[in-house]
Amino acid sequence: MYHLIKKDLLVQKRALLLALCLLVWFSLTFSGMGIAGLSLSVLAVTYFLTFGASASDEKNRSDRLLVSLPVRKSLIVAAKYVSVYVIVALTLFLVYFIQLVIKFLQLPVDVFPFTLEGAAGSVAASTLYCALSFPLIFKYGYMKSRMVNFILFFLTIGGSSFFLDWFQENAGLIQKIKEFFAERSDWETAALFVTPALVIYILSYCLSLSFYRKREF
Amino acid sequence: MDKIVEITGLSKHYKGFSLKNISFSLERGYIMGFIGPNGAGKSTTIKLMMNLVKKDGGQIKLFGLDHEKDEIAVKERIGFVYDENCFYDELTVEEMKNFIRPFYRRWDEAAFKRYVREFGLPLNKQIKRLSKGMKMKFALAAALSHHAELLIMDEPTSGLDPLVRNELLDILRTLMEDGNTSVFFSTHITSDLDKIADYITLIHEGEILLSTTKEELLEEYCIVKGGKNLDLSACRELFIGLEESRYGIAGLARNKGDVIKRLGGSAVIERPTLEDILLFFTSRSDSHVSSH
Amino acid sequence: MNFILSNSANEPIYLQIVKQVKEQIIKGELSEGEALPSIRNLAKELKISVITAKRAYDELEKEGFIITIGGKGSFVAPINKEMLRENRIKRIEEKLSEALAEAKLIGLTLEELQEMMKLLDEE
Repeated sequence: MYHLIKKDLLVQKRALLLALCLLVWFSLTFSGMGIAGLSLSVLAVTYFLTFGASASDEKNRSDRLLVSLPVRKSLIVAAKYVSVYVIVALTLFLVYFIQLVIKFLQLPVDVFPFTLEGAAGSVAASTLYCALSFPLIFKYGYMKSRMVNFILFFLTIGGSSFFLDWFQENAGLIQKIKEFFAERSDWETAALFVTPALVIYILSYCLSLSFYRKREF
Repeated sequence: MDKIVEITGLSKHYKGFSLKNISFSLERGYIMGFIGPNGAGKSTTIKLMMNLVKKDGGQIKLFGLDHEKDEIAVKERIGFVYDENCFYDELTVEEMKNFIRPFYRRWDEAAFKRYVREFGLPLNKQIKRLSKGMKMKFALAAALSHHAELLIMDEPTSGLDPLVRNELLDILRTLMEDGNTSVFFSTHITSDLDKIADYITLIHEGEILLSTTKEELLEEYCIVKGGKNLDLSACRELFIGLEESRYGIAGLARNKGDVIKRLGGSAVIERPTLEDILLFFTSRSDSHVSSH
Repeated sequence: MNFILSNSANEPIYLQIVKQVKEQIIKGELSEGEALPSIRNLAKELKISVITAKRAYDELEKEGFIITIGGKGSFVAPINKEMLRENRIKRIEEKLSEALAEAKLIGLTLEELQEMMKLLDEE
């Protein structure tokens, strides 16, 4: 699995550099967006890198290679799902690093806050988005599902901002929810958030795997 | 009898094309040439063997194992060389090798290094910068570096110059020397197989037309050349195909012994090449008889 | 060992090999007990199919020119002078039959043929 993920990153050396630039750009321009700034930047770059890898797979017709190697399809699909978190972690690290540099150089720039909520938001948004779009890629291939994935991406962003607005309008509800979580221990809080996300992710994995198994190369 | 490949009644249906009742087998230590015109079903057969596409019927046994149930065990022992590059263009030769390597339990790094030296593979060059011949050699090096017992090659020499094709054949000859490896070589360039193949299987429009040793094939069949007035009434039924030109006729016939008896000195009788076999069996209207 | 194989000759390759090995044994270029290359090595060096090489060796063994010991390889069989002579006689018979057939085609009689042989011998 390590090698499959490593390959996804290696094939996009130029893209990684571009991703770094993008993050710098986002860090400078999204500063007014609050927590959402972090989530959005991470989601955008994750989208860029994950699907870049899929595009490379498709362009090189390397699905044929992967299926010819003695490696289970379950592993190939699992590697893709796990790679999302690797990329999210990498992106978060890069953002943190960029902000450190900005602070260190004392540049007169505001940056969006780097908080745990923001990071959690990034993970959640990426999980949701990939859970929805990966089955499409595994069934139809990257090229054919490009348009739909693009639309999904903007829906996710739109949906997230709608969600955030809704939260802000329903301050009362937020208060109740906050009280609810305050009474829970950290573990329970984490579990309540992580579990549905994991469930969706795993369902998506099962769907992707069954598509990939039936696919002809 | 150590049957490395055993295919029975294989079938696969597409909208405009079907593979019907494909059956043949290959023992350890021999090379089988899989010949047929473009679109005959060669690549489809290989994809079915590698489980890249699902079969509709029949059975494929590799190393005595079912190719689907024991897929991983089977693929461990297969080295493959495809005609189109399926490697990652952006990676270097070394990076690509390092990607493939962990998947094979029996990877032999020393063997790979030997091939790198022998082929002159530039380890730090990106795959996209390699010539077509070099790409094939890399695929071959990778395929031969994990003690594979079966080498499956799908038109590996298409688009390559005669020099590289000859190098490939030399490598295969050395490979065959210990009798441990079998090679399944699909191509429409029959001259590659004229010398090296032990067995020939001919496929056309999704069906196997013949599958036998090259020896038997080239002895059973013959090219008959004669003047325009050559009387073939006595042996018409022995002819697979006939071609008339302005100055005479030429054809492929089977049962060489019978043909010689019936035609005797009135015609020239020659050994066919695999190209002749391919052309006459697949009834191309512009077929010609190749001469040595 | 020397081999000259021709693709354009109508004679099957395995037969060419058989003939050339027999010649070398008869001429003494290959000595009794000498080890022959393995079938696969021969196939590789002569750039022929393994099956062709195997057939050649099988034929040579059948005619008693070589012996194959499982696991060790093939060796030149002890040269049987009787057998060599028989072989030669067989060849002469073949050639004479050919000559007779040709003679009949153009109506040459047996006596005329024998005359020819005398003249040729005196040359």
